[in-house]
Amino acid sequence: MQLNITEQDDIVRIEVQEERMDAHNSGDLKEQMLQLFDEGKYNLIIDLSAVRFVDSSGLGALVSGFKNASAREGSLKLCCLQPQVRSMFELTRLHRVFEIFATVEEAVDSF
Amino acid sequence: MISAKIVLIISLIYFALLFAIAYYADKQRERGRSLLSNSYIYSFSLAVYCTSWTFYGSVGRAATSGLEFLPTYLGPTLMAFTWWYVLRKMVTISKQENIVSIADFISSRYDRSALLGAIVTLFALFGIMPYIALQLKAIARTLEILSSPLHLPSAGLSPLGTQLPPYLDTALIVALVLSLFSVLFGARHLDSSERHEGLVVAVAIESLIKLIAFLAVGIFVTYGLFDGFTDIFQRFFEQFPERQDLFSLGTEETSYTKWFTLLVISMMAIMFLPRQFHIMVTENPDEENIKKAMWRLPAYMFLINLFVIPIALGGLILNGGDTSQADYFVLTLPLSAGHPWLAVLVFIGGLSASAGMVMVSSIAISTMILNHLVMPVILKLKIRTHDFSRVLINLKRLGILGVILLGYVYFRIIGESYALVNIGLVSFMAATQFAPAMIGGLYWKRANRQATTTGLLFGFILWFYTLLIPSFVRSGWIDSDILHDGLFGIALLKPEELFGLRGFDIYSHSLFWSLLFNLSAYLTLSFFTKQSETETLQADKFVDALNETVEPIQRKRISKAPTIVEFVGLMSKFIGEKPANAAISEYLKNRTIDTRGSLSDHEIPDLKIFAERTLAGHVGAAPARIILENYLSTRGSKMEDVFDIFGSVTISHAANREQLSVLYDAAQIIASGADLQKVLDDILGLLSDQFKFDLCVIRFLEEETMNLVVKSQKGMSSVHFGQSERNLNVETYIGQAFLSNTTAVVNDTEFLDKPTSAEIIYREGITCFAHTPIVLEGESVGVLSAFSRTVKGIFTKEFIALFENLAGQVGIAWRNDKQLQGLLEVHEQEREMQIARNIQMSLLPATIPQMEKIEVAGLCVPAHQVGGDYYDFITREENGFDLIVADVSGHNIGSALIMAETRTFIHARIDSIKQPAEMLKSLNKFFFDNMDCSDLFVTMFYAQYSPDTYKLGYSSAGHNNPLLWRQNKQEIELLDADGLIFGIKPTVEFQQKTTQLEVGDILLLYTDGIVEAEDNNNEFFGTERLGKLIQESVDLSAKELIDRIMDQVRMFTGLRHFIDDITLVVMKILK
Repeated sequence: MQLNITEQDDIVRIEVQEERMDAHNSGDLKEQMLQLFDEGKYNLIIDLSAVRFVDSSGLGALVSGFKNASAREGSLKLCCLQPQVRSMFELTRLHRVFEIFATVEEAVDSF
Repeated sequence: MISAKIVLIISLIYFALLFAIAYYADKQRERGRSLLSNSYIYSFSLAVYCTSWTFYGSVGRAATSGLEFLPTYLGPTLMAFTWWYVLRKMVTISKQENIVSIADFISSRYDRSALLGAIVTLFALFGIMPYIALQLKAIARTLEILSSPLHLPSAGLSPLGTQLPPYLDTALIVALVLSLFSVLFGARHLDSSERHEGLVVAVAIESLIKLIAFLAVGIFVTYGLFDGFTDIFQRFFEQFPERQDLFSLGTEETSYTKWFTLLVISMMAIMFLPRQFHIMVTENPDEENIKKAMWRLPAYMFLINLFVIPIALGGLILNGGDTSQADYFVLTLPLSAGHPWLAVLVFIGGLSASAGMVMVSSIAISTMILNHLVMPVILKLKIRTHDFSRVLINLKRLGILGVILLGYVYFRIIGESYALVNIGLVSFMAATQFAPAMIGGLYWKRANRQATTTGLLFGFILWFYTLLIPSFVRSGWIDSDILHDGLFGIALLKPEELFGLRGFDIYSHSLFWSLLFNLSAYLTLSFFTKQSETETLQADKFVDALNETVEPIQRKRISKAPTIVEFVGLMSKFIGEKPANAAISEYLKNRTIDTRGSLSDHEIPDLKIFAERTLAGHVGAAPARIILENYLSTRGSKMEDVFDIFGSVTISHAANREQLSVLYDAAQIIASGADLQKVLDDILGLLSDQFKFDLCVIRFLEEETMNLVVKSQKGMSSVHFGQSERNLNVETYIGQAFLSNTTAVVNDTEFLDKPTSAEIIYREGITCFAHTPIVLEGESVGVLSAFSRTVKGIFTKEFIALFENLAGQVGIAWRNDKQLQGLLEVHEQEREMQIARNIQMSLLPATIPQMEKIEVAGLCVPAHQVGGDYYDFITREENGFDLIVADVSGHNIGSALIMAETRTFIHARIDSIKQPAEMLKSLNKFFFDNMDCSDLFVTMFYAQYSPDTYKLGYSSAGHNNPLLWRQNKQEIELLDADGLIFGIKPTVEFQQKTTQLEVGDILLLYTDGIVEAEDNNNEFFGTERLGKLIQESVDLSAKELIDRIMDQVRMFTGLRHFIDDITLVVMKILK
């Protein structure tokens, strides 16, 4: 999975540069997040602007990141969701769990 | 008198009707209801043998030459007795090898020779051209007779009507119309391997129509114009007592030899005319149909000949013995008796006879031209386009048009000077030339390619010289000198009296010489030349086709093999993307694919053969072979023997028998299949025993440490070699051998240039040694070494070759072992997954009880062995039941375990928790507590229905919204209830909704596998399509609805397999 990782203060932004997040590639994202947690970085922003489709495994990776971040008193926020991805979150009611922002800046400001 | 216009319109309507039937047949096949399963259709389609030659020509022949017409139908009848052996064998082979034409068959049998395919094609094209001409002539003539019966045109065709320009004559129009329909019937798509069901059905119907028409006119003449058979015969004998010899053999007109000749060539024609091959073999739907056809075709022949003599005699009586128009008695008798509509029926019958022949022949021949003449050229020129299939189909259409127009040209040049019958015999004779190659090919393994090529060429040349040349002369197209004086004035070369042979009729003469040369060349060369290895393989396949054969053990592998995807890409180029994908998924269905999505090494050659066969079905066997060979060679892949024992050692170099026997013994050791350690030990034992080495060692690379580790050793103990493991660097000889992939030889240790090695060498008193890398696919995996303490200069050039060869064999043993280990491992895992799958499937409801008021059906298809989908149907004590669908993310064992836990939880609590929302809440708690930080998560829809009150209560944990079809509103409603997926938050409130159902309502629960199924353009199946599908299928039962949805999704994705688990539960309210 193509991930572009940038750090700003103690906030890490992960930009997913894939059209799809599914069973084939979401494992990479999960591993990347676990690595960040190991390094003591608990505040993540996942930028989904390129993602067109998320399946249950993709959601699973995000949920796992979310739970791990929360357990370490950090947080995982999402931004820039395309409409189809947004509807997937609404269907599973996960939009009430994740903090979702329209732009990266808004997400950064919320920390 | 019927105007030409009306006749034309009737003919076009008839064709349109046929086309409609053909179209219907094609559609039926797509729906899986093949009309061809009806054995009558096969039997009738075989009667394409009876062309207008039969329809009009038989009567003409009976009137002029008496019994001469009969062998043409006795031949096939005799041949039919052999069909269960010969024809069935041809069909079996053709199906196995995906053979689509007679040229393909002969070329496949003889080493898939492209040259042979081309020869047969050319031969067939020239051989069939007169026959097509004959059909055109018959249609054109009858059309004119019908429209102007009073002044019969004696010869030449006057243009039809005045409105047509002079260069457009009737025959040309007929040719163009027939081409159009042939293209419609036979070349709408490029899939010659698949059958043209529509065409076959149309041909069968045409056969029926021509039989009916002929019987009708026969009955009309016999019982209408005359007073039965006896009456006709009596009156004929009274009127023409001198023509009694029409009914005997051995007359001047019908000599015994001629009769015999005709019998032989018609026996061969029914089997080997390209159109007969096409209909009998290529289009054969089921071998069992042959049995029925074996008596039905002879019966057909009998019926269609029953009235030939009465009509002929009747015609002669009524025309005062004039035979000049005898070919058209069938038509002129009803016309002159004032029954124009009967004549129209006859015309339609004759049209059917001609059209059927022209269509099938032109399609068969154009397929042959495309596969055996055009494809090789395209391949040779290496024309590169993305998509050949479009070009190919247009070429095929062009081919059909070309073949028919060629027939037209022949008709213009020759047609007028010959009676129908004689033109037909020219074609029969051509088909007879295929007989040695075909029959020999089926039953004689020795028969080889060279012999067949030569035999066919001889046959072709003599056929051309003894039959076509005279026909050209007779039409005045070439000078008649050649007939009288022979070629170049040499009397021995007279086409009709070749080598001085006289006293035969032209056909017996031609048969004698062409078959003599053809057969002699075929037999002699087969005896005296040898087959190549691949040729022997093909010969065995063909001759043993009906025997149970043991699959030969796979001895080949492909180096640098292409992947499955590459094979598919290659096939798509020629047959289009969809068929290629369909073919490959059919192929892969029963095979194990390893974790990287590729086949194991030993299956790749199989895949290659499969790809070749699939291509063969579309472009013919020889081009398919060339395509694959080209492709593989450009990639640098080649087929290689697993035990290439003498590969690099030539006998002249290693004249030393001892050395060869070492290689042979080593191959035996490897083939013994003992475990790797024993194989390595034995090989080293052999080496040191035979050549008296003091030490032999095999080392393999251990990848973790990048060291060469001793795997086997013979001779001095390893104590002598303090460092039995070697680091990899070029400072040592062994390192150099390994890294540079070349053998390192030191024939005299007095001269060493690597100090690191020298120390040990001197310490151990080694006098000469060599290291050779063990190489697999160009990469070193280990080193084979040999040392001597006594001799110097043992490593000669020849010996090094042998030594390297041994190392290659060690590499093969090593690879075989690895593969075996890999396979064992995979099988073990698979077995466990299978157990898991069985357990998981047993957790789903085995049967759903039959109920009076509702009907429920469910289906769960895991994408892999195990999956994370789950559905359940639980009856509650208090009159009602719960319907549950859940989706655990992922399709692995983890998902399957969570699914099992979910089920256990629900079943344990079902009596204590009454409401859906409550159940979800406690499930959420359970998951949150037990699945902390896992990336698996669960969505669920939980419904509860009471048949008494028609109330449906439901809650959802982030699951896809089920669809509810409201019968009275005639619309789809989505059932949505608020609720988060499980395991995210410790406590979640789930909304519970209730709705009232009515009779006819349909509830569909599903998982995302359905709606997220994608087609080629990455478009989702989606809920809208799903909703529409329900709307269209409200009359189906719950089970049928599920099947329908699955079918539609499969069609949508174009795949048999799904990438995600799919679950569907349907509930219908019956009353």
